[in-house]
Amino acid sequence: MRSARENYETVAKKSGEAGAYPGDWLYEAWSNSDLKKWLDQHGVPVPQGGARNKMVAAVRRNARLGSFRANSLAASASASGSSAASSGYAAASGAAANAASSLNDKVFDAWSDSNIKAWFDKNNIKVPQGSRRNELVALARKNWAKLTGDDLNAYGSSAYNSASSIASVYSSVASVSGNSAASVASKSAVSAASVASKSAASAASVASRSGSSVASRGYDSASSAASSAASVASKSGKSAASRGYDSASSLGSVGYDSASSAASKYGTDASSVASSAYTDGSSAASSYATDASSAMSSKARSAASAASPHLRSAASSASSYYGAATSSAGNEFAKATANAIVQARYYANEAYVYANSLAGHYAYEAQVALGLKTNYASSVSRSVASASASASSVMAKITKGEL
Amino acid sequence: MSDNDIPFPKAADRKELQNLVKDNWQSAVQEPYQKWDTDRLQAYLKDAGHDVASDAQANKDSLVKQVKGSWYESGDQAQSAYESLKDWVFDRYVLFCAIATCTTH
Repeated sequence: MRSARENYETVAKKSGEAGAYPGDWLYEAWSNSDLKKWLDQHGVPVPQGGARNKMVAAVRRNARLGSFRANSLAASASASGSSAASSGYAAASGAAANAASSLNDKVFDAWSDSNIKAWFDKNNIKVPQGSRRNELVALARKNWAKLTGDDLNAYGSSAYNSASSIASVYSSVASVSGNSAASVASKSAVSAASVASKSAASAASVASRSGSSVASRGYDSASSAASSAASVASKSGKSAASRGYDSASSLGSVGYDSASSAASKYGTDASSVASSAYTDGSSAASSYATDASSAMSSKARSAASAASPHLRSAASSASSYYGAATSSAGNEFAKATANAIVQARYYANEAYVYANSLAGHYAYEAQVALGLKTNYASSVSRSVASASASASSVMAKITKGEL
Repeated sequence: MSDNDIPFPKAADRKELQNLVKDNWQSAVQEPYQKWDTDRLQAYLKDAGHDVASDAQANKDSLVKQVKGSWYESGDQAQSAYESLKDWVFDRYVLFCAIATCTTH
């Protein structure tokens, strides 16, 4: 989204449109079902007959209303979350609450009502009969905060605990969306090999891009953790400062190396999947598409979890200098640690949201436009099983502290 | 004009089009709810957490008045919003489509 905003003027100009009105190029990438879904979600009547230009016009006319709704949701979320916090932790806590609430909005936006309900079931949360979508989302947000330990006590206790609780929430979420993809796939019964092979190829190219963006985010957050650790150290005014900086920045570069090698590995993996799907091109292609999209989401997730231990070790090495830096640095250090954890969670969450929206999109498109043969259901469920097995092995590693 | 179903002469020159936009700006952009039907007005009010006046009084005029009282921005703000469109046009953009749009362009 940031990239879209930063390049908005350039693209509008290139498309020969005035930047002061939302041009056609903004909605070229939207499928008819994306348009229809958006209108439904925002209470806008879908134009009769569903002509594409009419739907684009309706989305355009109501884009500003969509922005109002996004902002008022964020405002009410931060209002309800602002009652915590004391003394030195106040700043860190505010930032954490903001980041968490706006992220949760994004997460739940990407889910269908039945995804949310399945998540409630999974976590044994009772839902009042006849709840509207915004009530579901409010309830989910509230419980999400509880399940992920979104308060300062959790940040204070240990980075390890919070990382593993996040991992477990993600894995439950992954299995919910995995199940719904499988049921969508098994319900439909139309064949569409060539379309599927195209989507496998595009999934692969998106995957290689996403791998590298995860890598660069990993680098960004590692280096910002490094620099905030350095600033804490320098405030203490002791000789530990330069030592702290050296070690933190070397950790940063280790993080970058490992993230970028992960990125290039995933890029290679994904493109080899794509090329074999492409040559094959026939009945097997649609199962490759499903495989690719589930492999992708598990890779995005594992890239995120691979990045987070580096952040954690940056934070823990900073913690060993805490003793030397003594009382003057105490407050600053606590803020920096909380900040590093917030960032780690943010990037993990972003990677998850991205993977989830991609998976959801493919599942939805598959149902509406192409569909999959019933006999692919078993291969889908196999790949779902292997995705969840690899998720749980990552989780096990995190729990054992190997990652 | 097309987006808002406002008819305009095919042969209109730029000046005429500008005047037509000016005439319709308030009802289409500053107060878009003026064109909503009663169902949508009621749905909006409910969604915003307002009590909807009960059936008999819920005629279109009173609903429009109620929506107007709780609308998000003034006419001036709507005016300047279109000078910084990029700041909000992506707010409820479909995430997957943002990736595709950035990739294409």
